[in-house]
Amino acid sequence: MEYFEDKKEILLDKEINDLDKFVLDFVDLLDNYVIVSGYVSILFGRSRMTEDVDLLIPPMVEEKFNEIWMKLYEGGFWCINTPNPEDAFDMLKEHAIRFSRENEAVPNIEFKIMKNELDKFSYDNKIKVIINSKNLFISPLELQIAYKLYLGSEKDIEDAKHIYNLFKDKLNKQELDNSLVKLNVMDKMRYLENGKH
Amino acid sequence: MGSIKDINIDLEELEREKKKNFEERLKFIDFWTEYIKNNPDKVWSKQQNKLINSQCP
Repeated sequence: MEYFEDKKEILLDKEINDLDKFVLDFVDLLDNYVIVSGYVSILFGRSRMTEDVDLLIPPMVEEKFNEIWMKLYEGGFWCINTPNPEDAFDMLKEHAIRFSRENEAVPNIEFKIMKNELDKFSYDNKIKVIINSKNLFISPLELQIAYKLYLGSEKDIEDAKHIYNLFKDKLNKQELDNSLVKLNVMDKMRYLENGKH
Repeated sequence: MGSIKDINIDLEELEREKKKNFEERLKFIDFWTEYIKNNPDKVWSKQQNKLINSQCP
């Protein structure tokens, strides 16, 4: 893999797995989104599975949501929470809704509306990942690392370390520091640097 | 059948084991990320896919 930090692009020449295919098929039906959290580390080789993939989309009016809903259903996905797009749109105002392949439940996409400045920052600064000529947009790596440290479970710290190790020579150090300070997790950098409690 | 209430559990020992296990996993991440960096994407992804594809429906 190669990270062109100036272009905000990562080139991946991996063999696509079933989870990648699920995600690529889903995002192919969307215009605007950013993928955040656990799947990002799995995309780059982390040796673990996940049942859900977190995806943020910009706020939208109901008409636009109905268009997306139709595209997803025609593309072979269904909403696990409800078969009714009006109900789904109402739910989205309060919490994420989940989409999976028709008649399946896992893996699923946790589909969330961007709600705060952190979400917006992830979206505005997203990175394009090019996998065998298909595109995928993910949150900036520096924020991804800091956010995983903030979440703080052993799994999350391992995810953060995986991304940090792979990209540490190309990360924007100042931006990583800023992200750590913002999320108040500077002390957790020790896990990434020496792997000690 | 015995009952768990009849055995002694050293919670401090369990805690030490838990920490050691986590540190071992962090060390594995050092090993695996070096492997990823030093091998073509097709090589590491083929191994990762055995794990992922076995768990996808």
